[in-house]
Amino acid sequence: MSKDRDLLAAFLLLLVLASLPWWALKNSYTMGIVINALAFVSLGLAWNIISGFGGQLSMGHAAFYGLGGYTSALLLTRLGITPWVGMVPGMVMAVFAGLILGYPSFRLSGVYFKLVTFTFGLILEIVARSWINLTEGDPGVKIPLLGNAPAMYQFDSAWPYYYIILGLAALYFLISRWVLRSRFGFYLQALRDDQVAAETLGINSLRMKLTGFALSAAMAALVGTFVTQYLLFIDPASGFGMFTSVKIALVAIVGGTGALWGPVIGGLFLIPLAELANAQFSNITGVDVVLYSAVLILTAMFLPRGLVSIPDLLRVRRAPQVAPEEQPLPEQKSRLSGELGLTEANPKAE
Amino acid sequence: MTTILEVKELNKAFGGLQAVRNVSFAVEEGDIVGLIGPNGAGKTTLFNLISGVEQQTSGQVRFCDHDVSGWRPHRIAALGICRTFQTVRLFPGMTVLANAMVGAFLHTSVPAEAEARAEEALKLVELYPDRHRPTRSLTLVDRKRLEMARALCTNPKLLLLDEVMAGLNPQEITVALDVIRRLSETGLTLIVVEHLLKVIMQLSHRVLVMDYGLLIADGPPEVVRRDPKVIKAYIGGTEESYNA
Repeated sequence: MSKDRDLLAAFLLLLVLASLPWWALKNSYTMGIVINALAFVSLGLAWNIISGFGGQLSMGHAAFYGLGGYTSALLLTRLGITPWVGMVPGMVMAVFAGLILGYPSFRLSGVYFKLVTFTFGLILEIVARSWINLTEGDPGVKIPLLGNAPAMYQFDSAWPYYYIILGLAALYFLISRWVLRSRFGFYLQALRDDQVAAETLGINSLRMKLTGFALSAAMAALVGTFVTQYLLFIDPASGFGMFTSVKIALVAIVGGTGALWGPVIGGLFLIPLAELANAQFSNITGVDVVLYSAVLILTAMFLPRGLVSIPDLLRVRRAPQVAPEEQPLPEQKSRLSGELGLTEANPKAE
Repeated sequence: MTTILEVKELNKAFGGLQAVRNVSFAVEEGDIVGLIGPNGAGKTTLFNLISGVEQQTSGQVRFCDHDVSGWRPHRIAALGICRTFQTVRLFPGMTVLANAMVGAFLHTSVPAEAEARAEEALKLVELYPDRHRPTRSLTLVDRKRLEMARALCTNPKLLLLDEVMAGLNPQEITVALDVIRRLSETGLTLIVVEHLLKVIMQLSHRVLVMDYGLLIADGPPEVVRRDPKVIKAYIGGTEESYNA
């Protein structure tokens, strides 16, 4: 029942977002902000599959985003292959990289997966800077202007990009919802919560994590192709950089790690907020970085389960007054009211 | 009756500590086997070896005509061995029903089928009314019940229960015993680790006794309880103190 409500809410949100260009986003600047937000919603949804549902924190998800962007961009500039086709090798590259990274690091417990993914992003960034013959180095790859060329994934106005990324975000939401309700999703979450117990119930941990990581990487790569085509360029820092990786994870963490709605709420809240801050304080560079850091600290301290947990916390606050006998266990009551105490201290929880 | 599990000269050393020493025994299909011994005797380590959670130093485990020595736990589970943990290991981020469904997904990939199987198991352990609750809100007794239900959802041929009755009151123990007996009647083979000797003696067809990693007795309860070695090593006193 609550699952059908998810679908209904997603549909209504989709309608609202789809109508925005008609009444709210009158210029390409405001539309660009929402396109950027939707791209990070999609990236957050991709990250959430392996890191949220599966609990394997990827600290370098920009690597897959960059692989998707660079692969399709280079196939276009070097071989004239349309990004509509080039997106597929981009995803294949990301899956391949994911499997190579995941195979050794998923066999180890502890911090190794985080380290390996983090380092992989750094390595790719250095490679992209240094292997000038292939990647054109620091300046990055520029997509040649073709005017309005839908067959080459290029349009002369922003709205086609807007609807493509909106469709992609909606697709990723449906994929996440499907994963959560399938055996695959149950297994990922079981592995996140207790790997040993999960294995004794017949779960092949290595295979499940690799599958989750591959899916997550492919989804991020597809967004990379899209954003590169929209911005008409990709460079090592924006493609593989740590800041992009952090933003991907942050969107999901602030919204709610492992929650279906987490990356959606997080992306739509955080990215426009950062853009707004940058516009307000345009004389200070790096306001968005400060903002992201502050939001991360506030989330970790006051809302560990993200923005999506606010309604739950408010419900708990009201519940004892309405029906005290419904409070199930003294143990649970004190734990939840402990969390409640924290929300009250949080100015963001309305 | 056919032999379902055969353990041959099993050894497990943690550095210099020999946790399991040369243990050999066989379990017949449909039996309830009690496994007792003082703390640190190696009971849980033996469970870990049989279920693949830990790898033995030497020796062999055969299950249903397969040599499962060195297999990963998920393959052993797929073959039909499931276990519970002394320190209950649930999936705290998931609901009661979802925990049970994880077990049920071993034999089906259809969520609705897994849900039906999980609900059936939850009814058996009387947790059905709590199925939508978060796991972390359960009492210890209910957590143990849920872990057992989750294990049953995998449809095991052999179930290893590690102290599922510890911390239960006498009435709850009666209920738990009833559940175990009913499971046994369906043809399930069980190895039960328990500290409550009376419970083990009532329940088991056969009792294994371990001490310092060695298997010091193996036989029907009425024989094992008279075994001077068991009384000395396990009880550390006279027979009176054990019966008390």
